[in-house]
Amino acid sequence: MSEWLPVRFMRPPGPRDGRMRFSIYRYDPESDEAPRQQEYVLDDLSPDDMLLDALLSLREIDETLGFRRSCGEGVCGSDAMNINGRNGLACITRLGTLTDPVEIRPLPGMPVIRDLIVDMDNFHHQYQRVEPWLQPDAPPPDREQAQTPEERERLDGLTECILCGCCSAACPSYWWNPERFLGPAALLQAARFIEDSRDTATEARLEQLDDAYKLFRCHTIMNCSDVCPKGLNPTEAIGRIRRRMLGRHV
Amino acid sequence: MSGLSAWLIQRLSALYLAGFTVYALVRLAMAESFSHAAWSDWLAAPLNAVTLWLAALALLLHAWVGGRDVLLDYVHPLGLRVVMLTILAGWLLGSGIWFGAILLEVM
Repeated sequence: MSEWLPVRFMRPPGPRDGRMRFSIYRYDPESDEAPRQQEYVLDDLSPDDMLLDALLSLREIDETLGFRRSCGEGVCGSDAMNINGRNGLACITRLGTLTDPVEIRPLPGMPVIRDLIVDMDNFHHQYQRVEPWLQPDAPPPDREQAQTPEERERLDGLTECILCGCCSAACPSYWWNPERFLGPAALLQAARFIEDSRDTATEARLEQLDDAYKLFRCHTIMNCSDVCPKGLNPTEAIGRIRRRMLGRHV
Repeated sequence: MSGLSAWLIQRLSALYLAGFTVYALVRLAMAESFSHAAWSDWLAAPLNAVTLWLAALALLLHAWVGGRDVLLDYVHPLGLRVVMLTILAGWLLGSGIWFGAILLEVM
């Protein structure tokens, strides 16, 4: 009977007697012919340890292991990676939530620089394309530019993005057309400025997005919202942009 | 076709086709005869004819946007994409003309 049960039902996730196995993607394009998964084992782990803690311990054993990290608090978005098939941030992923062995890969769909470090140039380029800064038609006032609570509320769920890339790297439309489809992260940022009462470039922003690729490669499969480590909803933000576009014409 | 207009056409045509499918199934279930004459009589009513012509148009537009989406997603070389879009457009146009010819013959 037991062989019919998926592993996750047979035993709880997390370290067993403090021990956990890790299978980590290793690849250096300059010296390796092909990528490989390298196996590691760590002891004395607690289910409350974060995956980043484990990775840092592994780097003490193997200093060649490459990954990005910075704040360690889920704020900077540096340590985004594919953890047991799902994009997330290592620093806020508890080992107790992961099945053993933990399979770690770089963010999918992005070129690998080394091991878990990916080239995010295209991701950042798409972010730049939505012109992610306020564009008022009058010079900025000397004092702060007040918004009503309702105007500010419309930005909730749009300003909290940390640009970790988990969403865009989980989006098949972004995998197929990374140069032309802006991806969920950039589109969430586009929505953030379209919805901002202080920005007056709304018409131009909506016009710029209305082609076959930039926004409309989104097929609303919601992978982005599913994986966002900040609990944001890029799919909903894309829907808001569509509604604004519709409002211009109808 | 802009992104928004294609998206809107896809949704509006889907709504129309969903409604038409239910209507057509109910109508077929209630039909007493499936003869050519009965089919011709049914199409003699202008409302029925318009409904069916619109369904054909909606189906062609829906198929065009859907097929175009698949090609835009997966076919990246420009030349190949243009050729495949042309084949798709030609095939749908041909199907539409064929459908129209059959319908005119029955009417």
